[in-house]
This record gives sequence, structure tokens and C-alpha cells, in this order.
Amino acid sequence: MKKSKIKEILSSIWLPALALVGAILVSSLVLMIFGYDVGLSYQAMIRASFNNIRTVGNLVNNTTPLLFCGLAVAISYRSSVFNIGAEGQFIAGCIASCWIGIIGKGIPGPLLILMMIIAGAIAGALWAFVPGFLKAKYEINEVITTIMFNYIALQIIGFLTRTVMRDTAQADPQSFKIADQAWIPYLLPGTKMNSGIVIGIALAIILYIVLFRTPYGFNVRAVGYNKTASKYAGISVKSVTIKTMMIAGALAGIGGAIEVCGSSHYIFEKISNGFGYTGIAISVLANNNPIGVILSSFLFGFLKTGSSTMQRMINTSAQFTTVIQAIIILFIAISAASNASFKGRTKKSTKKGA
Amino acid sequence: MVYFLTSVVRMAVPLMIAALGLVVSERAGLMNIGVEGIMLFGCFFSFFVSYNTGSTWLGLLAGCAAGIISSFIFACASITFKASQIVVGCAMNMLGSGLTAVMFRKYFMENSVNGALANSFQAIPIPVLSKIPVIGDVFFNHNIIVYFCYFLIFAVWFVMNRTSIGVKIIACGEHPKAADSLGINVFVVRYLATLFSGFMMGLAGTYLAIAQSNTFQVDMTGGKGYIAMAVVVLGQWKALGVVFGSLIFGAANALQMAIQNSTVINIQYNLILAIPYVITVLAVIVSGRKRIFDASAKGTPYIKS
Amino acid sequence: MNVVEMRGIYKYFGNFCANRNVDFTLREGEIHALLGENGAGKSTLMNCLYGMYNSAQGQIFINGKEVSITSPNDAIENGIGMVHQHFMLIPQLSVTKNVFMGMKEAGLVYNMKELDQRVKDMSTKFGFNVDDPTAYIWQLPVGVQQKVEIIKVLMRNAKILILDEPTAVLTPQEVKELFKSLKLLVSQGYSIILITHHMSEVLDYCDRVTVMRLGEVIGSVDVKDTNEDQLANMMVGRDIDLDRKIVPQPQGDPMIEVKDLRVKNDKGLEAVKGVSFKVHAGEIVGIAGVDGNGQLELAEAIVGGRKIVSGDVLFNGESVVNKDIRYRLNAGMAHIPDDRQKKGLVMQMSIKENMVLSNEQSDTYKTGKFLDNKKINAKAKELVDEFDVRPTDIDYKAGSLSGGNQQKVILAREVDRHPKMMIAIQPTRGLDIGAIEFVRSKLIEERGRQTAVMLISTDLDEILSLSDRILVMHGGEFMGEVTYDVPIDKIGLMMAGQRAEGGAE
Repeated sequence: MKKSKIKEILSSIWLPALALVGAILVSSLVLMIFGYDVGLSYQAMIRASFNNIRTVGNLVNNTTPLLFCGLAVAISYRSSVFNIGAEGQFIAGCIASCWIGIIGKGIPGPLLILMMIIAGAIAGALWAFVPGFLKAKYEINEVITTIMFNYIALQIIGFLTRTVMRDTAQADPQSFKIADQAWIPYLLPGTKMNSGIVIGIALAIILYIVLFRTPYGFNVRAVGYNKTASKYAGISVKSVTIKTMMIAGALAGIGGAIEVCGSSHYIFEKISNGFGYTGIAISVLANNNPIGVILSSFLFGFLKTGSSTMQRMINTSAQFTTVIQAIIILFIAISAASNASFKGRTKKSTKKGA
Repeated sequence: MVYFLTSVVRMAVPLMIAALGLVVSERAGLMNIGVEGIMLFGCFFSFFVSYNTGSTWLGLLAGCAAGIISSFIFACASITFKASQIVVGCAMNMLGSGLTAVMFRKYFMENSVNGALANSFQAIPIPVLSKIPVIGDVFFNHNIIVYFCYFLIFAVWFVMNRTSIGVKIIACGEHPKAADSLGINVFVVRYLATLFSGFMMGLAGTYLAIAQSNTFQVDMTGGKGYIAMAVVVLGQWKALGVVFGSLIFGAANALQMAIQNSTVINIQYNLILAIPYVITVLAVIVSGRKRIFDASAKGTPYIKS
Repeated sequence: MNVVEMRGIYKYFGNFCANRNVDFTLREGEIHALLGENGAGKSTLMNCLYGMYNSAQGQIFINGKEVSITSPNDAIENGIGMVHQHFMLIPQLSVTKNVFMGMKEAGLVYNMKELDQRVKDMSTKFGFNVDDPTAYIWQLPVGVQQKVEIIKVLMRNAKILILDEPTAVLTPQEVKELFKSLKLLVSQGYSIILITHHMSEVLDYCDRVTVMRLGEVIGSVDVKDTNEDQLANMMVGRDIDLDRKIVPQPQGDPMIEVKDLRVKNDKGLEAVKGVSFKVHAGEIVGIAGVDGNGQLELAEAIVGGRKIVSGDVLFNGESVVNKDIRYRLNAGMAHIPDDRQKKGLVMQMSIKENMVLSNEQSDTYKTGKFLDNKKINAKAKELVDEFDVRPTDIDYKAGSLSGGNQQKVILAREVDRHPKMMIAIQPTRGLDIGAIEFVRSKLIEERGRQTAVMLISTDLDEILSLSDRILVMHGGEFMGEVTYDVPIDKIGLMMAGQRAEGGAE
């Protein structure tokens, strides 16, 4: 049995690894087609994260919001809800926590930070509740609703940072800064190493325990695999769907709060640079496993960190890393499916053998 | 008022074209949420070719070809390799957004041709018909792609309801195994449906870049692809329903523009921009509960034993 | 003359051999039965002939000429047509469009008037009474849908028809009608292969029979030279034991009492029309009937998976109409669903996790608020041993178990809850003989410990050998109550909708 466990872990790693190699090769090819220096590109990318302790700080800072969004996507995908809405839920969390941070001037730091995180969680959960409810109650496709909620959230933050929350002392539309005592100190002085990463890793571990060691997590997984069997086992599929969506929203919302407390200290329209969408890639790469999400969010944080350096050094668009992400997702999705269809085939044979 | 109605049609057309394409691919059993990305490919390549050759027609060809080629990637991954259609769709959106941005920077911003303008399709009033009061201006004084769209409405309706191709498409979406048992090649039908929808998405992108405007902007589709998906739900997976659905969204868009340009009504513009998205959610809530014609096998790859 | 000759057919699914060195011949103008138990490889063999599997080995001769059939297209070109057990119809399309679907001859653009007429003509010619070719398939009763399937095949000029268990969904009277049409077809030069596991159909209507067992052909004989005993012997490899397995025992109080229950099916039509009955502790009540006569909806309503329109369900004296499934399970109901892969198990989860399913809140598996792996492993191992689940590795995925072992996992889980009442729906469908006997013995054991057992089965033998009382259901109503010693033709008539004299209600 021990052996089979090791085998299982190995088999769950070698396919994503192979997919990653494939993705790197294809990305290099794309770079070459456009006439960029491949070696220089990757060199730029690696240096952006690992040149010195300060750049490692940047890596951590870029990874933190991705980690939360990745977790948000992972838990909803576990219950077969295709939550494309981490982006909007993250923004909702940013708005709510920033608002608390601005108005809570007199509140002591730790308490204010806690309040901001809670506000972020609630806002994210509420933002996810509507699509979750519509899906559970009326079977309305969550893909369309969550995407629309992303756009709506984007317009709301745009509206708020241009009107009621706008700090007119700044040239670009952005909100007032949150109270000083609500700034979470960086892990290492002199770097931008966001301490929120610690909270994110802790939440990932908790989420892992919830998913694999509690009755609720059991229900989430059962519903994700087979709704009908879950229903007949007396699991309330609707309530699991709604709860899971809300937990996902809360995770993304906490990510938003951490981004505000730990890094940006104010909000602006583009505060979420596609974090929610990247979260999908992160979760897919990690096979929706919270522990795996920690690793894969670092990978995507690394890509993110490299993007602006690549733009500077080889003059490609910062969006090039989006291309790399897309290629990684394609490879992962294909490798996961070929793995599953292989299993499906052996399953079929035993069914016939009955 | 006539101006408003005309802009309703102008705004509805790209949604209509993309949604008509989606009707075909969704009824064949594919859930392609990569519309947004594929449309962006259409936008960029039609603009790129039109800009460099000066020919809108070559631009049109390039835009449609880009749609077909990029949807081929989707088809490959989700039909042949049976990857999750939603995940692949997400990847297509990223690919479309990312690659077009990279190319735009490479070919336009590097050479500091900022704000490059390309030739675009101009309105061609149809003789006689365009002289009819109101209707003439609203429907018959548009560019060529709009007229082509009128034809496509009829074509999609006819093919889906009156031909063996339509029957095959519906069979592959509802009960692929039954189709297979009658010698219909599910893979070929699904591939062709995807490529056709890719052509339509490319055409919709072309319309945005070199008919409705004459330039390319990064992420210029702004969610129109997703709204086209909602239009399909609203139109209950039928060609004529989709026409109706996209007109509603065209109206929402036109209203949004009218308010923005209005001197009387003064609402902050982010709130106005949110209107189409809110309406999409409402429309999906209203129509998403009824779905007799939503393909039963949608989103699931066909596995032949 | 042999219209079909199959030689040395092999078909593997993974490592499992579904057909081993099979020879089969069909003569012109005969109805040839392919007889065997579930899982004997009959359907596999016919799917090979029809080109549904492209990895089969062996030779196929049609009208004496060797052909290669790798797709249904090849089969159709060789004049072979198949009516599948699960209909291959598209509910959202009309009869005519279903019939001409994929036919080159119908042209690219359909001339609907002409095509509708051709369907009508074909229907009249063979007495199929498919009256309205423009109707959507979902509007038609099952019997008519089957006729559409046959028309579909005939329209493609098939001379060789394969029918896969065509009678499973029909009443005895509809079966008679079907065979009348088939005889008519045979008299006009068509040849028919009939897959079945009903001996009576073979003896009454067929000319020759080939018996299969465990993927191999046991033998082919003329029907007039054989009898029930010989066929049964060939089918199962030993004398079957139709003896009653239960001995009379005292019964307790009514455990479940259903009063004037009305339930709708998935299409919104009334499927259970005012049914009342009781099941007492310590008895097995069998519910007999042809598939699709409301049995499933009745069971689902009692378990809580389907809304009740009106009426009452008393469980142990308490009305549970407004209670959810979990409440009913906790109160002592157990449920063996009709479709174990869809409703009973989570195929992607392991054996032990499937044991936990529906019991995840139970202290058997928990310590505090957390699931306790030690407890789960210990209990799962115990159950795997007791119920002889193989393989014994509790981390094995349920999806890779054989059907019999999947059913054992469900049984283990349900029995271990020590239920007061057990509802078993088609508990042995598709299982091998060993597993069938195991499942039945467990049901009897449950009866022995004073559980009320409700057994729903379309297998009359099963109902007759296990039940204390038998209720026959047709069209959503009970036709009457009988005991195991009732003459079989009487039950047959009741299944077809004739009420028992005197009436049970």
C-alpha cells in the first residue's frame, strides 16, 4: 500500500512535469517566431525573481494574490463548479477591505487588519453567492454568470476609485490610502516580501485538511465527482454547491484584503491584473489540490515577475507571460485528459466484464 | 431615434455573428468559452492585413482564417485529446488576449506606429430598400458584413432545420453514440462545427476591427464573446432566437453609448459600461432555466469503444 | 444459405476477454436467438458484427463473401441493421428526421413531405402503426419508439436485422405484436438475430438458437430439437435452482405504509397513480412489472429522491413525506439503487470512501469533527472481508471493480447501517451468477433479522423465489397481489394490465 501511494504521487507529478516541458518548448518556439532572443528572454525572467533577496521579495509579492485565487478556484472545481469568477471575488474583497481600512483610522492595527480581512472574506463570499445560488437553485450555467460578475466588479471598482473613494491628490484615479497601522509589515525589511504569503500557505494547508479530512470536504469531493450518487447518499447538493462557492469567494476576497494590507495599501481599477484568471491555470496545473496550488502559484508568480523584466530587456509585451500561461494550461488540460481517458478505458473493460 | 435604432443593429451584428456560430457548435455538443480569444485573433489579423495591404477584403479573409485556425486548436485539444472544454476555452481566451497584445506591440508599437488606422468597410446603401423611411436607414444602410450577416441568419436556420447536415449536428450533440451507430462520424461533424463557429467568431472580430472601427486595441472585444454565449442561451439555441437575443444586447449597448454621449443624462461612465453585463446576467436568469434544445452531450467528449 | 458467418471472433476490453474464439452463423429467412445471461458476450458479438468496435479480430462472411466491418457504415453497406437495447433516437428530432438521419439517399436538403410519406408507407407495409412521422420522438411511447428504430433499419435496406433485447421494455402483449411483425419480415426474406435472455421467447418464436456463456459459444441448435432444461443447462452450465430460498417466519409491525401515493416521472407525467401498500418487518415484498411502469418512481419517492404529488408515506409510523433523504437514511432506510454506477457509487473514489458515503457524519468514521482514517480503514477492511469484495485493497477505486463487487460495496454500506427497511431496485441486474446468489442471500439475511424488504425487479424468477408477497405493477397502478405459486401466465396478464379477479385494492 505504501508503494502504491508513492506510485500515485509519482504518477500525479510526471504528467504535469512533462506538460511543463512541452509548454516551455512551445513558448520558446513562439519567441523565436517573433524574432526574440530565447536565451535572453529566459535569462531576464530568471533574474527578475532570483537575482537577489529583493527580487525574491518581488516574487513572493506577486505570488501572494495568485495563491489565494488559485485556492478559490481549486475548491470550487473540486465540487465541479466552474468558478471563473475569482477575479471579481478578489476585487470585491479589495474594495470592502480597503473601505474598512480607510474609515478605521482610530482602530488599533491588528484589530483593523483582522476586520479588513473579514470584510474582504464576506465581500468575496457574497459576490460568489449569487452565481452559486443561481447554479444550485436553477441550474443556471455558472461560467457565464461568474464572468459577467467579473466585469461588473471591474466597473464598480472603476466607479468607486473615480468617485467616492478617489484620492484627488493623485493624478491617476485611485482610492485613499488605508490607515498606516493596517499596513502589514514585509517579511524581510528592504524587500516587498508580502507577509500575506504565510496566511495563504496556512489557508492552503487548512483547505487541504478540510477537503480530505472532514465530512464537509468529503461531501464536496463526492458532489464534484457524482451529483446523483451524492444526492442518493443524502448529501444536499445545493447547499454544498452554494457553500463551496461562498468559501471560494471568501478565499479570493481574503486575497484581495491581503493585497490591500500587505502590498498596495490602496485600490485602483487594475488592482487585479487577471489574478482570478491566472488562478484557473494554477488550479488546473495543481490538479485542484491545495498543496499543489502553493507550488504552482509560485510558478505563475515567477512568470508574472518576469513579465515586466522581459518587456524591458527584450521589448516584448508584458502580456507574453499570458501566452506562456495559456500554453501551459493547454498542455496540462490535454495531459490530464489523456490520463483520465486511459483510466476510463480500463474502467470500461471491467464494466463489460460484469 | 433612427440613429439609435441604426446603432442597435450595428451593435447587435457582431454578437449575432458570433452567437450564430455558437448555435452550431453548441448544438453539436461543444462548450467553447474561448469565443473571446478567438474573436480577438479575428480582430488582430483582419486589422493587420488590412493595414499592410490596404485591402479590406484581404483583411476580411485574414480575420476569418484566423478564427478558423485558432478554433482548430480548440477542436484538437477538446475533441481529439478530450481535454476539458472549459479549461481549454479559458486557455484560448488567454492565448488570444496575450498573443494579439504581443503581436500588436511587436508590429505597431515597436516601430512607433501608435494609433495605426487601417482601411475599413464603408456603408453601402442598398438601392431602393435604403430609401424606405426608417427601415431603410436602420437595416439597409450598412457595411457589407452586416448584409452578409442577414444571409447567415437564413443560412444557419435553413441548414439546422432543413438539411441532413443540421440533423447530423443535432444528433452529435444530443446522442453521439446514436449518430455513430448510423455511420455519422462524430469527430468530423464536431470538428467542422467548431471550425464553422471559429469562422463566425473570426468574422465577428473582423467586424469589430475593420467595419465598426478601423483600428485594433488590446482586448478590444471587452467581453462581447461571453455576451454572445449569453445570447445563445437567451435565443434558446435557435438561429431566430439568437437574432432576437442579440438585438436586445445591441439595444443595451446602443443605450449605453447614447447615455455616454448624452448631455442631458449624466451618469458616471463605469456605471454605464456595466449595463450590458448586468443585462446579460438578468437575461441568463430569465432564459437559462428552460433549455430543451441545449445539447444533452454538451461539454463531454465522445469516446468510441 | 448462410447470410452471416462469423469465424474465430475475439474481442478484448483491456485485459478482459468479452468474446473468445466465437463462431456464429445466420441462415437466410430465420429468426435466430442469441441466448445467454447478462455479460455472456452476446451484445459484444453483435456490436462487432455491426462495426461498433473496431478492434475485434476474426473473419466475417456476408452471403459467402468475406468482408471487413470496421464501422456501422460498413455494416449498413452490407445490409446489416441493428436495433440497440438503448434506443439510438434523438428525442429533439422528428420521427422522419430520425429515420433518415445520416442517410445519403435522403439528400442534402430534405424534402420533408416526401420523406414523411415514405415513413408512413413503410409503417403500413409491416403493420408498425407509426401514424405521425412529424412527431418528436420524446412525445412517443416506448413501444412506438422501438418501431421507429426498426423502420430506421429497414429504410437503410438492411436484410439482416439484429435486435438487442427488444422485449425488455415491452408488455407480454406488445411482445406478441412485435413477433408478429418479425414473422412477417422473415416471410419476406429478411433474416433476424434476436439477443435475449428469455427462454420462453426463444422456444415460442425462434427457429434456431445459439447459446453463449462467459464470452464463448456453447452450441447452436434447432429450437424444435431442444427444450427449456437443455437450454438452461447450456446457459448457466448447471441445473438452475428455482427453489424458494425463504422459509415462512413471523412478521412484525408494518414498517412502511404507503397511502394513495401519486408521483410524476421526469417528463412530468403521472407515473405512480394512487398506490397503497404496506411492508412489514421481516417480510420481502416483491414488486413485479415490466420496466417503466412506475416501479422506479415509486421507490424513489419512498427513498426521498423524487417529489410526491399527493399521498403519504409512513415510515415506522411517522410521515416522512417532507423529510429529506438524509433524514430517512438516518431513520433506518437503506437503498440499493437501480443504477449502481450513477446512483450508488462515486466511481472515482476508493472502496473505503464509498463505504463512508452517506455515513460521513456517523461516529463509526469520525473522531471529533474530523474523519478518522484509522476508523475508516478498520471498518472498511471488516466490511470488505465480510462481503467478500475483491480485490481486498480498500484504496482501490470503485470504478475499477467488476459489477458484482461494486454491488457488494453498496450492500456492505447499506447493511452495515442496520436498517429497519431496505429498498432494493434491480439488485442483481447485470451481475454474474456468484454475485447474484450473494446479493440474494444477503437480502434473505436481512429479512431474517426482521428488516422490511421491498424488492423491485423485472426478473420474475427473482421475485418468485424471494418474495413473501408479490405486487404486480402496470401503468403506475397495482394490478393485484399474488403469491409465489401463482401460475406464470396469470402474472403475465397482470403485467400487461389485467387486474386480478376480485381486485387487491
